[in-house]
Amino acid sequence: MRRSTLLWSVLAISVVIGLFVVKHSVQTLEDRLHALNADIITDRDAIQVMEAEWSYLNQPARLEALSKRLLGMEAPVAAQTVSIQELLDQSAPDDADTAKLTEVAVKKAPAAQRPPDRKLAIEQVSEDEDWLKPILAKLKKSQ
Amino acid sequence: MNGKRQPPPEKIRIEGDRKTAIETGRNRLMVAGALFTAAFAVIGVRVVDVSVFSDTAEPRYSRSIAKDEKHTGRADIVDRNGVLMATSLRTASLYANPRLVLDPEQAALQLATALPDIDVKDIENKLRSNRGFVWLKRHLTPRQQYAVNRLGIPALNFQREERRMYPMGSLAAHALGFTDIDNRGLAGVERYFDKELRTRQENMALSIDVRVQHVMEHELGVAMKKFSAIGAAGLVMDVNTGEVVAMSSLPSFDPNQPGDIDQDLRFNRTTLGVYEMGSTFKIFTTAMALDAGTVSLEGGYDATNPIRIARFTIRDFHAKKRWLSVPEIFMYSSNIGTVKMALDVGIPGHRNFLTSIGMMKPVAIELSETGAPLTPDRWREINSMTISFGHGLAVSPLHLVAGVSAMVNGGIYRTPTLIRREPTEVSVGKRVIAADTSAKMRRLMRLVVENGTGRNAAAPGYLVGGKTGTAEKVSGHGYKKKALISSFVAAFPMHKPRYVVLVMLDEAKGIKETFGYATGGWVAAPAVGAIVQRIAPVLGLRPIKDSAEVRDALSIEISGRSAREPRIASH
Repeated sequence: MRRSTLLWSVLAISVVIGLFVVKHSVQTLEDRLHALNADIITDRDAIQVMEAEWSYLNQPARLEALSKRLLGMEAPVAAQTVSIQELLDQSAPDDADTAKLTEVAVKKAPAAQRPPDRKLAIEQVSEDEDWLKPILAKLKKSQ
Repeated sequence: MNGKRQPPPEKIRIEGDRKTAIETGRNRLMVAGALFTAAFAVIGVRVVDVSVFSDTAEPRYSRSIAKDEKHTGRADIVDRNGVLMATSLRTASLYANPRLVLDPEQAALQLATALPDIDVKDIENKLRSNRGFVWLKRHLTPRQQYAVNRLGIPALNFQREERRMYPMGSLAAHALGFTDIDNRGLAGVERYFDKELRTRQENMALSIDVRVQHVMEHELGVAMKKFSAIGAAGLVMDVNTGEVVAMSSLPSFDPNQPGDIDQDLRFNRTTLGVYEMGSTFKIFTTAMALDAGTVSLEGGYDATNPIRIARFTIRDFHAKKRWLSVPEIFMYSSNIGTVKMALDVGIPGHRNFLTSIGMMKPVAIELSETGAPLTPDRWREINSMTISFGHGLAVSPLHLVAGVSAMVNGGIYRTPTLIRREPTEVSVGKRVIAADTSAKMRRLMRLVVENGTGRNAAAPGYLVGGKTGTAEKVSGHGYKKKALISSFVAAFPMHKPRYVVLVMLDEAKGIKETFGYATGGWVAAPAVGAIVQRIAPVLGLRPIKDSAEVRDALSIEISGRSAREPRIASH
């Protein structure tokens, strides 16, 4: 009789203590969560303010005035725009020149290295773009 | 329990009353015991049920904010590229419980030290009132809030509130609209989408592009000042999607100060104002006649003599006094020729055509400020005649732009929208003229800028085409000679139009530079040229180099005497 009573009372007391400890730690965690939530909301409000400010500072009228005053920029005219294709068409060396350049390149380059050709360069660029794509997508999304 | 068991005591027999009493006691004990057992069993079952099987946990003290959860205020409005145009910021508003104020006079004086711009007497009266709640000042800055807190007046308290901010200032103010102090939309998109903005989680993207909008407002402002106009309106619309990329009405207002906005400034000239547009309507008359087949590009009309009907005389502004071909009629903006074109189509045809391009009812754009066109009560011959060159039917500039878009984009009318459309969401629209007629109209409009009344609108490299318009403003029963609505409506690039641009000036006055003329070709066309030159690169259009394809798309045969007569004036 006495042994079982002792057993049960020890059990009951340990459960009570255990419960208290758990309850207390939950309470602490909830407090922390509450504080974090408050921080998040404060930060969000601050971000919102900064976004508004960023947008305010980026008013086209302001940017125009600043770039005119500080950078000496003007509105572009059509003659200033040239496509890459036109640039290539105009400045591309003729075939004879290209052949010479290639020769020099081959001579100078180690045997294993191929002379760089245009296609390769374009492929590299598009690879670079691939690498950029997820970042660009993310940026777009966040907008 | 331990120890030896005692031998059972001698049986005692209890009889009689005593026995009955003990029996009763035992029975009662049994019943009570059973009841208690049942009660505990029920509680036990319930405990297991609640703690193990039920989902209803103890109410949480706080919960974590979901990662993608937005703040709960009014949704932001952004432009088509995601630039923030309207947002809600948290502010604190000061209120008081006057019943708890001990010394109103002292409190008001103290408050004035923290908030210098308040009216002490007014605050004191508020604090004296016998109410439980009065606003003292809305939307304090954090610095002001700190100052008020430092005073330590017990009856004062702060309410977290939201304040609508428009970081772009007055840019696109008429399209955006504004909200009152309680964040209810009062104008523009803010009003039209008021309910949706309250509940919406993600941003609302408009079709407006702030860069284009800025260029439009800037150039309109320059033209307005130069020609001392009382107002101006400008629109840029994507002809293939119906999206309005820029919508500007001057003079404008700052939506950040909703209290100070004058009723006159709120007036949206692009959608609410209806005007007799003048010669720009010749685009519709010519397209209608070409589409109906009553005349071809090679055909023409005799414009030697003015037309007299009832008490009116219809004459040409720069009369050529000879037979004119259709391109010449369009290029020189001949009223006589245009009237004859409309009459050949007939009155019902004319009315049906204008109905089909939406000229008879308000434009269904996402704004509450849309003006209903002023149409003639009874459509007689004289109405058809005047409407053919843009008098006697008043429409909003947006009507005109939507109609012209349909004339140049291959013949499909689409309702203008202020909401960004993904390429997959573009409305099918309805066909109003044949694609072939639209191609002819493009040539004609290009001709006006190359050789006709719209030469001032040229923007090298972007193949602008358009039509001038000048109308006298209606005042009472007549027309005011000196008060003009001068406009120019253009599309570019003309071989494959992408955008329609309209510039309209209200009561522009001629200056020396324009030889005193305040007509569309002199005051509005140069603004269009300047705008196109600046917005085309922004909109991703490359300058078009002269090519066989372009020449083929825009060449036009002008039958008639000569297309190269010296220009006298632009109309």
